[in-house]
Amino acid sequence: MTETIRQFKWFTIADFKEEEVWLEAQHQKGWKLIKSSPFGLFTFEKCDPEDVTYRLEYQPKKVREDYVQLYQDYGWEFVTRKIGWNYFVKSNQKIQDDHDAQIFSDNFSRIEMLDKVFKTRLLPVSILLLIFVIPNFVSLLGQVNSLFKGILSGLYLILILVDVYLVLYTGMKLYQLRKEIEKWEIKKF
Amino acid sequence: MDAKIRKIYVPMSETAFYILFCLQVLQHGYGIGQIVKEMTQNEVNISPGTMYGTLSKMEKDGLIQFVKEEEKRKIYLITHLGKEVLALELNRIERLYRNIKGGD
Repeated sequence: MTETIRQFKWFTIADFKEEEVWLEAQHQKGWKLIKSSPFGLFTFEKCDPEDVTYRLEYQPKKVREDYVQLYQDYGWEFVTRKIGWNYFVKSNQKIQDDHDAQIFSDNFSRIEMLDKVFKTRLLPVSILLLIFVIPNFVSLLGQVNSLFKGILSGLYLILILVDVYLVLYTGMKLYQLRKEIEKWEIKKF
Repeated sequence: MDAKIRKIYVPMSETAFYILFCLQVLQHGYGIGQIVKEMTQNEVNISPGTMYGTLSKMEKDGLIQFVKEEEKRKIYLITHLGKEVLALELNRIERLYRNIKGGD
């Protein structure tokens, strides 16, 4: 039987580049990714250590056969999918130049992906937080009349603060990534 | 052709132009990428994400149509609207070329 391990590591939706680097390091140590699950749970399978390139693409659309085939034609193996994120891997032996190492060849498509992450992931969470969770918390505060309810509200507040922090961190990072690309963008004349 | 299509696709990026240009005959994504690479002596490389995104968008906007699937590869062809857009682009590029050549 093949040996597998499970490992927790947290990456936000804006840390996909860091995630790629980490997965490459794992592969170099002889652990290839077989599954990425919500809440930062990764499953690896023992393999021969190899230099590979991992790429994460955010694609809310359902993964279809022709999509996987197209990437495969370009030498990318589809590994797994986690809430809209598709994981691809390619052996570095198949990479002659930078084009072979990228899944996007122009800045327009790079920016488009960041915008998709923003619109379909960050924005809904922010709206939920602003119009539901926070007002809900404020109205609960008015009903605190015992120590138990006080402790519960305290825990609730911590959760909200963590969420707010994550939303701000992710938003800032997506914005920075976008700015970085725009710097190189040659405007149409 | 409505103004929206014209606004999006005229002028279009080199990537989009070559994709539309190649689809005057039946072709699938990777095939287009290979032809473009050859036509441009490796100067224009279209990666899978960009290829997939451009094909999807052009299909949605009616510039190209899905014809059939062969060995899990979607084969597309330019539509009438696509030909109109391509003609506009060809005119623009030819004018550009004439002006450059006329200048020296």
